Amino acid sequence: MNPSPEVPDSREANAIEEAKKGSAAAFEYLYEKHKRRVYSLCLRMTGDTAEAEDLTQEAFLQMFRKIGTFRGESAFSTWLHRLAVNLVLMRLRKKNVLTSSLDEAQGQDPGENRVREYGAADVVLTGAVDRVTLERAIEALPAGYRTIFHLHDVEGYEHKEIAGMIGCSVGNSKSQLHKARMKLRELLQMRPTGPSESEAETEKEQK
Amino acid sequence: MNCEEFEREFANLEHLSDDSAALEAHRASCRSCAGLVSDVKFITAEARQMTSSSEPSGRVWRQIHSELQKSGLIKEPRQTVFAPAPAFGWFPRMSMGLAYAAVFVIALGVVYIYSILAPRVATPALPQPPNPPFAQVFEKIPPQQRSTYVNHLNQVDASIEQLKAFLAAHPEDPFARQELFTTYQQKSRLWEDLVRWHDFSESTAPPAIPEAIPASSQP
Ligand SMILES: [Zn+2]
Repeated sequence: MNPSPEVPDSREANAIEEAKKGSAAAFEYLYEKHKRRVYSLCLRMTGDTAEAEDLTQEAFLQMFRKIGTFRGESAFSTWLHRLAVNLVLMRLRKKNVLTSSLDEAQGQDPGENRVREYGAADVVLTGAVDRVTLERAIEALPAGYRTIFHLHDVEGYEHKEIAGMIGCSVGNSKSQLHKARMKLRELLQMRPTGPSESEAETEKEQK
Repeated sequence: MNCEEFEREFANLEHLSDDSAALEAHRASCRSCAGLVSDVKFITAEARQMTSSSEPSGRVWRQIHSELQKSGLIKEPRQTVFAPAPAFGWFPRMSMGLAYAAVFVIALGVVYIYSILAPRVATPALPQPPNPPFAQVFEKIPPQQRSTYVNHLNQVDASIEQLKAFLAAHPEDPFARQELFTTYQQKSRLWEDLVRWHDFSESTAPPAIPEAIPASSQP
């Protein structure tokens, strides 16, 4: 993983020490500081708000229960993040979402499910695709694809790390990522293209 | 290299920047594959910048807090809702002069902005707080858990009383009205949690959360 450079945060270190002593305010500070990142990780990987909240709660609780052993060699956020990823993967594995979609993919010829016709120039994505559209497209990905795309392209994990976390081969992780990106590209190219087109549709229907 | 070979090799790259000469040569002469690469680069660049805009509901922290309390990791009583625990326990360690000056300046700003924005209209009546049958449900849960809920309920009720008294004296204060609305919601959520975590067959349905404090334009 290539986390953004961690700036030593003395307030956070202070909060960790206070939390070890049992300060509610310190726990709350740590929660407030990291809740968005953990929650959005869980939400994007599961695609379900209730489940994401449940996992966020579990990640923080596990983290806080072990806070007495935290020595500060690694960044708190990295530790928490890794914990959250593992919890999500465990949950997806339990629900069989991950393994079934990976198993399916493993048996597939890499050329299957191709959405691209070679030689034909596709509609190229532009800056017109906004963040919300991209988020929706990611949500629409099958669970296995979404997990690998999220881990690699959003969180910045390497294929080797992902393979270790998920229990698949590096080649499988790469091919899943490629398929996820192609699926996203397809979803984004199919996005509604503004009011003029839908107005035309309505007009057609009225006739 | 044809398009299929291109895509296979492209999919196998560890990083997008690991582009080989062969890939580059094909891309230079093939619009379709060039488009694919540029789209993937666009998607991954956007993905890396995705920020966390959404956040978990307040319920998550309340559950964490209550679990931490139950397991003894929090070693202090919870503060009342009306006077929430300062988010920064170390704030008082700042130079106190500086801290007070900052608070004073912020307060001045708030008063000023409010004086500009506050609509001069009649104040609406306060909605009634949610009043589910807590006592009936408390009887049915184990004493250790009961005390946590009872404490929390007492704190929320005390906050509601404080805020109502404050609003009686300052009926047009929008911040206090919002705060009161929030405490009503807290009370409703406390009830929801209670009902959710303790499966009572004959329990009543959770109360509806008041829609909103009526807009100040209403009579
Ligand atoms: Zn080509």
